[in-house]
Amino acid sequence: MSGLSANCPSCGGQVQFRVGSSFVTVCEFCSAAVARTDRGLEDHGKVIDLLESASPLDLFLEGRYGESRFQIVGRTQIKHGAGGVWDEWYCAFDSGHWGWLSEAQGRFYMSFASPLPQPPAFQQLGPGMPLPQVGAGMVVAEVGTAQTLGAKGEIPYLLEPGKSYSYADLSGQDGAFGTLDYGDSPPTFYLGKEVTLAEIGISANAPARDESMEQAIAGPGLKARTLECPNCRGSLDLVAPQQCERVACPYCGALSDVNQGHLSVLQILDKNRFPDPPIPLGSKGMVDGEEMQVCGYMVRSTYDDGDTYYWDEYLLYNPRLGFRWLVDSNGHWSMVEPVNLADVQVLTSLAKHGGRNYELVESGSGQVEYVLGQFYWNVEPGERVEMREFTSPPHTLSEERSATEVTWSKSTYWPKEDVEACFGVKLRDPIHGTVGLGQPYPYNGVFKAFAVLLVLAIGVFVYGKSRASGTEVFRGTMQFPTGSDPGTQVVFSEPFELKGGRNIEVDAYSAVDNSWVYLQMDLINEKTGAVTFFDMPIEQYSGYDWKEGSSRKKRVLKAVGSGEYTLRVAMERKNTGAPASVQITIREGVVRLRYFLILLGFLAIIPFFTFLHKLGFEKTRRGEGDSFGGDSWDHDYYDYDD
Amino acid sequence: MMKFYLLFGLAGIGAYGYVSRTGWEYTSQKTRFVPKTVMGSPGGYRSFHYWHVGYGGYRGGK
Repeated sequence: MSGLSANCPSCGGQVQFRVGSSFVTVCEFCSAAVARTDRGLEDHGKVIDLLESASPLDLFLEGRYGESRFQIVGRTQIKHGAGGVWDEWYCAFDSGHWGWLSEAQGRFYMSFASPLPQPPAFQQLGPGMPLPQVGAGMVVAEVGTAQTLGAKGEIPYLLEPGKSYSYADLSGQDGAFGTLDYGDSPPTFYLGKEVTLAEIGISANAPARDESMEQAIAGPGLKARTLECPNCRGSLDLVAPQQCERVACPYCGALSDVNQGHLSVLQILDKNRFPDPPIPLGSKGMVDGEEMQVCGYMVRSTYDDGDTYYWDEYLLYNPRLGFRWLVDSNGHWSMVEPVNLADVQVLTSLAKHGGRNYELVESGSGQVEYVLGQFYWNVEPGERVEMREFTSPPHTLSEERSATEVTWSKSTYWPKEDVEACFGVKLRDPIHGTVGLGQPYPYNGVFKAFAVLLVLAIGVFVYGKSRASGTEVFRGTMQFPTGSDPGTQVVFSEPFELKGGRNIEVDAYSAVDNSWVYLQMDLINEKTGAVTFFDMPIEQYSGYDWKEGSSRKKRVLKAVGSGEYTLRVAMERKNTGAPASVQITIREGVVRLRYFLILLGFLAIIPFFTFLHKLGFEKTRRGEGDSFGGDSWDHDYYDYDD
Repeated sequence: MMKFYLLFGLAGIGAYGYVSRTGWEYTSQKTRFVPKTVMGSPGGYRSFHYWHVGYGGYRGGK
């Protein structure tokens, strides 16, 4: 860096250009934007004082981007068209080029001026529009106008204080970020990506992460951290004073615009229309290891099929994390954080983000009904956006689209008990019969258990099959005298051995044809005299094109004790002219598939009904059909008047 | 719910394992003891069916 000292053309004080390629330096004495030109130093007018903030960045901090080292040498504050201010920090790299480090709502983006041969006209741009000519996957996230407010240090372009310009912010995949700045002609294109302070080597220089929020916000901020409501003179504590654009007084409902620490009442909201939020403003809770404070509360609504549905949103703030939203819908809570627009792929009713598929469940327009506390943009009742909600429990992806901006956010379902523990409050239970958009189905464990039990059951079946020998212990043909008196037709088998402890399958075959035989059998233990008796009718009939029955019959007996057995078979038959022989086979220890199938059916009973229950649960989540055992949108929960 | 179902399922698998291991069957078979002296006596033994059903009780399906 080269140094150049000169006298301010406005006040005569000494100004310095530490960086050889900077165009403007802001006079420390009179806040004049001093530009160096080929005609010498020029006064470009006064810049207003910077709004001090709890930013971890400051002038002269050093960092690195990849292998390149840089130093922060300048800063401007830009006012967003919808209210709110963001910071641009100018990084002078050792190599001589410049980087733009943007800081907005606790997030950081490093970008560099890049050539763009054919930039699109500003009027052609709209939120959500893909711009492949500036980079693969680049999408317009926002179009708007901005105004330069304060500045400090050295600026790498010809800063004109108070100048308004149009811009388009672009998002790309994997945190890619771009800006088309239409303040110049042709427009300047900046391309870069979202970074963390750790990635650019600044975290070590920043205030400790465990610094309390009180300390973090104890800086000057607006002229006073506590302001007085211009309507009721109530005391308004500002959690994020440097980012506060609107304040709704919790005492009188006056909604005031914040301008340089001065409040001007815009309208008086009906405070009695909505109850006080169950999580009071100013409450603190730990989120992602950081203490966040409730700084704003709003009631939003959507209108569908003749009904107005309400939900509550809490705005949380931490200087490190920026802003988050805690949403309460019918007693179902979720924590919301922004996601990069370009990292979301939408395929009609499906959205993909982070390798996860989200299914479209709701769409419509949302409207702000009521606000309380402070907000970082010019919020007011009646503000409307178009919304789409995609879910993949426990997460939900939400798109909010206005005329100038499209944003995506990801929410994660928070059980009510977690919210209570986080903020130390007692909350009402979710309305019976309602399902949160990101609420995981509570009995998914049943399906996992079913899979485990299924594997276990198959294992037991396979083990039993390997153990079951199905050993044939007897095979013989029993001959019965033809034409004799059926009552005397009794035949005994040869003795055979049974090991016991295994089931016994008796397989009998008789060549019956349009006839029947009835076998009465006794399995006799020769030693103990225990007789197990059973019967086996065999019959088969057939006609020209039909047939019923079978000439073979099987019967499985329960296990008997081990020992030597004889089978006594007595036969009855339709007439004495019928076949008079029966082939009998006896096996011990056969596999019983029937019982295994019964077991599978038994195991499937609860998963089956759980599945039906889940269908109803998911149907309710999508708002289809009847509610899940109750009113899915219970107005009484909120006690709201339409 | 999952714990209940796990217990429910394990009970079912346990019952199936018991059935497989012991050779238990759901059947109408009955067991009686007939003294050897009776069984060995000519004409002394008659089947259970003889006393309880009697021959000629079955008439077939047609």
